[in-house]
Amino acid sequence: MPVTVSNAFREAMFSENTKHWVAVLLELSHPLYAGTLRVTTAGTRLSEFPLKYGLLHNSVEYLYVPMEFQLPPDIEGSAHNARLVIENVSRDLLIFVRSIEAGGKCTIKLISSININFVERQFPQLDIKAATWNAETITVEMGLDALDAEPIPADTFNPSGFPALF
Amino acid sequence: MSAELWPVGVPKGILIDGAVDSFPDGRIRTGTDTGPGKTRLRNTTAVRRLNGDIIMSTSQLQLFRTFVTTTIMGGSLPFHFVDPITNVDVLCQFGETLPTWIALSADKYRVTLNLEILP
Repeated sequence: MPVTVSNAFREAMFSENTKHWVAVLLELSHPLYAGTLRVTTAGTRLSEFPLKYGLLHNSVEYLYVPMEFQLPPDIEGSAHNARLVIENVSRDLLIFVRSIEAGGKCTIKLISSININFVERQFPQLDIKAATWNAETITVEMGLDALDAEPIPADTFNPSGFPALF
Repeated sequence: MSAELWPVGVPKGILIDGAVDSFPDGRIRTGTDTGPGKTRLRNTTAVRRLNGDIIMSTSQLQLFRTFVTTTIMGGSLPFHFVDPITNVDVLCQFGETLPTWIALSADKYRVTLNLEILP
């Protein structure tokens, strides 16, 4: 599937050197967690006390968290799996991660400094499938559970499954 | 409410000799087989590292030690400092190491600071 982004974004990304940066916006939600956790991979200082970095995207605050993000691949037929590694673990994030049993959702948006209010690309809402953590990092696996588990073809009548038919 | 201020009575002039300043580096560089490689801005929250020494008397060192251990909780909180180049107030925190000092004479100490000036 072709990736559709703005011409200005494409021009900045294809140029030899550029002053523009790209940020991933994540909106994490879960029925057991009140509200939505909004984090970003880039930002500026929002306040001095408490010391807080992040950005305002369409007047909504996203907190800067140092993290590595692996976007879902663009290969046709492959599952939409994404992986997120968050460093500098804070208490707020751990409360969220510990609350995950099932059903957590994640929305991923890609923006750039050309216009931080414009979403260059938005991915389908993904399910949070698994999360592991230690003192330094939280690793979150995300994907489309329904598509991954769907058997295609749905039913196959073969000798091992239905011996009486043969 | 704002971050803690540098303690009154403690000098904030960093010695020119031995001071090391730097640019905040938020770039990502991708090497290419030939040519200069590609560079773009990756991180907008890069810190500027500043290392240098300050000469303090015994009483000033006592004030400074109280500031680090009590006021900024063992060096974990950010504080205001004066940029030695622009003379402007900046927000910073201690970097990889906390301050160390050596005695130069009975009432003179060389305190080494490892600062991260915050964006």
